[in-house]
Amino acid sequence: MSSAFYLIRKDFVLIKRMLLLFIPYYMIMGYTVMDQYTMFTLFPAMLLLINGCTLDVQQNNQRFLVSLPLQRQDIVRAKYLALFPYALLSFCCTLVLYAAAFALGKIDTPPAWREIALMLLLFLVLASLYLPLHYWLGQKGTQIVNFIFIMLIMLNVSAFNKLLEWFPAAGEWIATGSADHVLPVILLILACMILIYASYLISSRIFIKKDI
Amino acid sequence: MSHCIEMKQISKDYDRFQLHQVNLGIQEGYITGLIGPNGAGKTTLIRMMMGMVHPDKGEVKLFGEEDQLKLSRNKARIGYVSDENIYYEQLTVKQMKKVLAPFYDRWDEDTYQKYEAQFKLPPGKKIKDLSKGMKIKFSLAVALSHGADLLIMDEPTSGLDPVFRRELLDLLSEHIQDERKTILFSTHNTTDLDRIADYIVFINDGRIIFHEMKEALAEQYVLVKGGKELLDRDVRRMFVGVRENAHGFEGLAKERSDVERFFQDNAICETPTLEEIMYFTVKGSAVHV
Repeated sequence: MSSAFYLIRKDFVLIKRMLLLFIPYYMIMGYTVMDQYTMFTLFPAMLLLINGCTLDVQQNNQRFLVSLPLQRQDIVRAKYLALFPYALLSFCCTLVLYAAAFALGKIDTPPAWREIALMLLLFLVLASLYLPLHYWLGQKGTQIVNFIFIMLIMLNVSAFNKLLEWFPAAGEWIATGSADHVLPVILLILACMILIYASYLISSRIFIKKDI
Repeated sequence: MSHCIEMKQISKDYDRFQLHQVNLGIQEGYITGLIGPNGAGKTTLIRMMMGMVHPDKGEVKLFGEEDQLKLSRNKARIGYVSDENIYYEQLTVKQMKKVLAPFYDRWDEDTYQKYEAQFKLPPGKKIKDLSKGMKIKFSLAVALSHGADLLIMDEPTSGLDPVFRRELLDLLSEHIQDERKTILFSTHNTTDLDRIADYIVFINDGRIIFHEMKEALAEQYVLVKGGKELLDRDVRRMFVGVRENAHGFEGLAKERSDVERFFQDNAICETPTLEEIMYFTVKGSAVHV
């Protein structure tokens, strides 16, 4: 487990510079589309994941990882465990954005906790799709996969609204948090966890067999 | 004699290259040189030892272990110096050291600091701004700082200036004074191995041509120099490879004592260098200048 901690720390050392870029981004985007601040929950987490993964496949860096006294599963597991600090960081960014919006008088309602939670789940779902592709395609396919996923994040606002049209119950749950809808929420979380675990198994299987 | 690396019946197929049922054992306590021309399969073999490339067939044992879990733990006992940079180029030397040190239980910070000073490694400089020689020095400092029992080095001397090249060879000779330490050293520059290697593994076109003690090679092989009139079809068959020019021929032959007896005073018989053995073996009898 300690190896996972050091691998995640390594990712944060690598993406440190990118974290600094978030500050101006949030200042600009937060001011222009502040009424939809929850949409920004997904963006930093996904961008950190993509950046962390891309840096691993550039310049033969996966060879460095494989040369360490670790099993390949450990390396993959650390990438999946890193989703949680990324999600936490994203969550914190969203709260900061909310606080700024509240202070500026743009928002006078309490934070949209359920919507934020849904965004975090959406991040885990997207990461579950991204990581097996990352391990499968490696350096050659990374740029294409990154482009597709960044486009997906950019489109998430309209996609999310569309999703709410298709599933009105979800919209109702976000608005009211009615207890009638607890079961679907639990099922959704369970499905998400199963998806992450399945994704981890697939990524491990791909990476274990891969020539680096 | 114990082996710290054993490869049995290793095969690997690529589009334009194959490793053919390679059997190889690296003896503990010695310096083994892996030689061969570019594209012979040296790097592929080393990457298999490091678990980076998987063989299609055969098995690789590190320190007697084949089990994947123990194999990966045993990598802590290996210091790996790659022919290309494998470190994160955007990090500084200091950051990179901080990233990798916690993975090694036997990491010795004092030893690292000693090598950092000896190699004049600038801690604040980014890896991407280091010259190739400095990158190799950093790899070496890392490899020597975690108490590795086995150093695996893929073309470590390429890109090094002659002064550090000598220093490196001295350092390796010093390192091997501890009889538990082993070094595997791949190169196509055979003069490095003439100086320090105990064993030579020669690989060509994905096949191990020989794996011998360096001294034994001098007893086996002979380089014959003589006039062209000595060459007929039967004589040519004695040679591993022949090189002809306007003045005569040079040929590499095995079975030294038989060949010396055959030519007696009619030709000059010399001990070939590793480079000559490699050259004539690779080019075979088709070499004509």
